[in-house]
Amino acid sequence: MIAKFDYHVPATLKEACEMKQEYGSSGVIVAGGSDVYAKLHDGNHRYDHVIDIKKIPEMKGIEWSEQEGLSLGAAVTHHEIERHPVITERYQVLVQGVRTVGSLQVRNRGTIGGNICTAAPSADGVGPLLVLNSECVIHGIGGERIVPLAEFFTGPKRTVLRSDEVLVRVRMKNPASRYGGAYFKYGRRNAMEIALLNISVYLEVDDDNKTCTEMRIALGTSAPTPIRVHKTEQYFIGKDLTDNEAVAKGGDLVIEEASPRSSWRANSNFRLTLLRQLVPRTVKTAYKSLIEE
Amino acid sequence: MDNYNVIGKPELRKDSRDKVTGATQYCCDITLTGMLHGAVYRSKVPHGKIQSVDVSGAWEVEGVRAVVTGKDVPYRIGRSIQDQTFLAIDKVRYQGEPIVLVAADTLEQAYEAVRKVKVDIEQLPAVNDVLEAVEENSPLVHEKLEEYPHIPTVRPVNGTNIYDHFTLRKGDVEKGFAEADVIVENEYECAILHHAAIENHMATAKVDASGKITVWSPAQSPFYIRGELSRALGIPENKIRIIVPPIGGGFGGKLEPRAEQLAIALAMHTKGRPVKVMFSREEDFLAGTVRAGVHFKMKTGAKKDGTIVAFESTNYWDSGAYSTISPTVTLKANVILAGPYEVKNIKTDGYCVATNKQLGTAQRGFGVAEASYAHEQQMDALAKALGMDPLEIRMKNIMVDGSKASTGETLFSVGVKECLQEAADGIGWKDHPISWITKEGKIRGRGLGTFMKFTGTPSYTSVTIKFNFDGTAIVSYSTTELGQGVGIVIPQIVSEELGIPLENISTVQVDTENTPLDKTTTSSRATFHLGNAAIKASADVKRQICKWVAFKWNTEENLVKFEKGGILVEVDAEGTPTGRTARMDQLDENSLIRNGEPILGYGSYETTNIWHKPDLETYQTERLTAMWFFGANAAEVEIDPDTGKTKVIKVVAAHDIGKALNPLGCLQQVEGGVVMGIGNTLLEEFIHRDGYLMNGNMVDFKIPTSMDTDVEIEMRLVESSPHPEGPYGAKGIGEPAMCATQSAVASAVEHALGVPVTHVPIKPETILEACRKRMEESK
Ligand SMILES: Cc1cc2nc3c(=O)[nH]c(=O)nc-3n(C[C@H](O)[C@H](O)[C@H](O)COP(=O)(O)OP(=O)(O)OC[C@H]3O[C@@H](n4cnc5c(N)ncnc54)[C@H](O)[C@@H]3O)c2cc1C
Repeated sequence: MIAKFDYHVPATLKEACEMKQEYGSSGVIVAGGSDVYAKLHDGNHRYDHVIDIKKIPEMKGIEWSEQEGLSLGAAVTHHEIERHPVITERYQVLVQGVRTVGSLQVRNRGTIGGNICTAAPSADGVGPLLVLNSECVIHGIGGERIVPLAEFFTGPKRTVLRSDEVLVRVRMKNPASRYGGAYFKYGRRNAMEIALLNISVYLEVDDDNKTCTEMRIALGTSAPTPIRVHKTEQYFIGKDLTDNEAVAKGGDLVIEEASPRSSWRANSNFRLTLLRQLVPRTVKTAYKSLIEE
Repeated sequence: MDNYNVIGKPELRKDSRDKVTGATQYCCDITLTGMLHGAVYRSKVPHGKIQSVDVSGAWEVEGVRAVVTGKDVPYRIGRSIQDQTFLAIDKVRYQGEPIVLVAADTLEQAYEAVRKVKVDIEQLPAVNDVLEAVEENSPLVHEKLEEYPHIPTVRPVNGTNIYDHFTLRKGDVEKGFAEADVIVENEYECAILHHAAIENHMATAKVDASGKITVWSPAQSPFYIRGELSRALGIPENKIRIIVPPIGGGFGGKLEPRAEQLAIALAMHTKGRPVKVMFSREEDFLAGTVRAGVHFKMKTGAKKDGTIVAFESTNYWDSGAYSTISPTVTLKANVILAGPYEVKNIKTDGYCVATNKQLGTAQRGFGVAEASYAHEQQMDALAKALGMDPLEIRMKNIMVDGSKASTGETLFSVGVKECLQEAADGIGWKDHPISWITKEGKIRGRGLGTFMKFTGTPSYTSVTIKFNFDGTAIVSYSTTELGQGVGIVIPQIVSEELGIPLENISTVQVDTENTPLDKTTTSSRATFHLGNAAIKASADVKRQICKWVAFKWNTEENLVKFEKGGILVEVDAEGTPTGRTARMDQLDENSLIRNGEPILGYGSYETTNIWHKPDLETYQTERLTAMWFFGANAAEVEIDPDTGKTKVIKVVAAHDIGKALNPLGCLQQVEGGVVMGIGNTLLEEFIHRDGYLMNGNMVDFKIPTSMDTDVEIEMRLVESSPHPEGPYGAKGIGEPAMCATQSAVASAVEHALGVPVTHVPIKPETILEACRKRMEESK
């Protein structure tokens, strides 16, 4: 049962930042609440103040332009993303990712900002954003700063956000006109599942339609935070993506960069075995999506 | 063939519309004037001695009206062994065991007060593993098991963690194994599972000035719980009333009193104010009930031609901190542990074992799904050892009419051979290999599973029917609607018998004070037992109507005949119709009935007389049960060698139904049963570390979601062996629906991978290893 708390609905960014600063550890920012309230339910976590940021205009809406690319308000829900026409057309990898979050009910509540700020290694929205080279627009009492998403996480459940800061938007440039993207989530069930592992791939090829010119791979639940595996990415550059052996070798490399932990949910060897199999497979799926376009 | 009007027709359950639209009012919706809210302080550790309980902080919270500790309510419950008190007194034996209760004006206050309770516990080593628990030097969960009162058929072993040692002896196994050409010996394990009904355990209780107790709860078997509470509290049964609102799922878990005794304990201290206790989902995982885990050791011997000559098993059931009805689960599994195969020599020893884990109790199938998985793995192992086809070896040994069961009794109405053939045909057994690799590199396998199960006997039930002057009828009985469809099949029977339309028949909320005595809602017994009682009750109604109409027509009672379709016909002394008739649904229009005596029909059905008490040492008997159920499933699975994940492509479920009274109801049971069986086989398990439950929530305890039910289910109803004592020949389907799914899926996985499945759920980790080997071999 959730203990009582004061519920605040700041109308401006300034107010939100001040409240966050003021209430410190007795307060919490809430967007969809699908992480916050779930956590409060166990009775062990309590906050006296809940600060709901959903009413702040800057937090809302999806903006897109050919020049600027895509900008998502932190309070945009997974469901808004998965049905947005431009995103479904140009950012399929993101749609594939957020579509695996929980269930439709959860996606109607849960926001992309919440998904990022929870800083779970398993977050399904984060990997795709990482391979799309997203950056975070952060607002504090002193003003705004931009942090690449890849530098946003400092540890499990820890981020660069300071005691007065909130995430306002996530933005990214348009992907290349021809690219391949794929998202793979490994869980026991097909819904309501926290990823035991997830893989996001973004790739581009040369005019020969085979030679890899750009490769970005992000892993979830494979390290204390969502990560990019730069060495493995580098390995793929110049490789022929139709060469199964070459692609498979990426799997051998990726497990050098991953450091999944053992828990009662799964041991690390199992996760590594899966990574070795599934990273090449996801690369192939991404490549196929490019070719078949 | 038979020309029934309603029987055998697909009919939608009467409760479905309200449930789908949200109109149904469940236990959680109950609010009574002056009602208080209860909350429970539960043990955070799995095993320990209670050193002190300090509730002073709880009393300081505003709105608190009662605080109850174990010493205030030292009452013992336990279906088999009275080993459980309402609240822990000296010791806690599982994580989540209730220690202190609080009732307050609001739920928030009650929870706040619980947070203020201080309990000091000296932790003891947890008994975590069922095989370690039976070792001589194991710590004891119950120090003095032998001192608890217990029913005579349960045999606790003094100074151990063994609640019960069940034994079955048929023939001479040593001689049998000596005759065998091959012997296969294996061990199998099933994890602990949770019922995970949508509705958690809960109860609202009230104690009036005379001491009479009223409880509203989703009690699966209210008379059983009433009996338990009456004995525990030392008050007569007529002083306890249990009212059962619609139940949000039970699956066996709501057989045990869980919230009832807590709500009563509080209500005994609130001076007449009702108290409501609702378990949270987390509490339900910890302190609801579970399906026990089990470890089987199995040994089967066969001749070269496949004839099984001996079967032996020792098995250990992880029944948790209190025994509840677990010994019966052990018993039921052991009786059918050789499967529906005729085996001359059988020896089984089933141990029901105490550990510091959640309470193992009834779950849909009562141990049969677990047993089926184990005996079917043995059949596959035998087939492999003998180089036989898995279907052939099953067919070679399968039971038929006249076969002798493990109990030594001669069986009748046995349709399992037909079921096995139907299942095999449905999956295309003849036309495909048992395993192959697809173009996409996935491994496919097909498997078979059979089962047999018996319904609890002796048993009893009654049905009453109030027939109204407008031609409608209200049917009362006390078997509860758990989703099994009793609320449609009994009206169907009454409709058929009385010749009035189905929509004219309603049923009554189960209430021990108003609806007739009934043993229990378990064991897939409702259609058979209540059905028979409903036919008798209908006959009683017809007799009374004929009498009254005869009076109105001024004729003799025996000259009014009741004809099919609900027509009353007057005949003369020769039996020739006189031309005067009346329709059941128009009696009022013809002024035939309104001013008459109330028409109240009743009928009962009980099975004491057909039951022969088995010998406790050998479990041999002339007749153990009113009804045996049989069936077979065939499954096709696809395994992804990269991920170790198993997808069930298709399940064919063939059931020896006797007569399908409502084929739609059967299909609903089968679909639900198959999906539940798949969940049991591939997903669900309790994970403990030192007695602590790691995954007691809906994210980590993985029941299938609707997104995981993408499996082709084909039902085949076998009606070639009607039960001579069943209503219209019917048997049961509620539990059978899931009894052979686990075994068929496990068999398919075993065939796909070529290695035995020694543990369910089948985890991707274990499959991955086997996959790799299989792929390498086939390269
Ligand atoms: C049943 C269920 C299933 C789930 N399944 C999945 C799944 O499959 N995949 C997955 O990735 N997640 C899953 N989740 C987790 C969760 O739904 C997502 O992470 C979701 O995106 C969180 O968004 P929210 O708006 O609800 O976050 P909230 O709960 O509102 O907040 C989450 C965290 O972020 C902080 N926060 C939120 N917005 C901001 C902001 N603008 N600035 C600073 N801090 C902020 C909050 O303080 C809090 O710490 C599931 C949750 C539930 C309850």
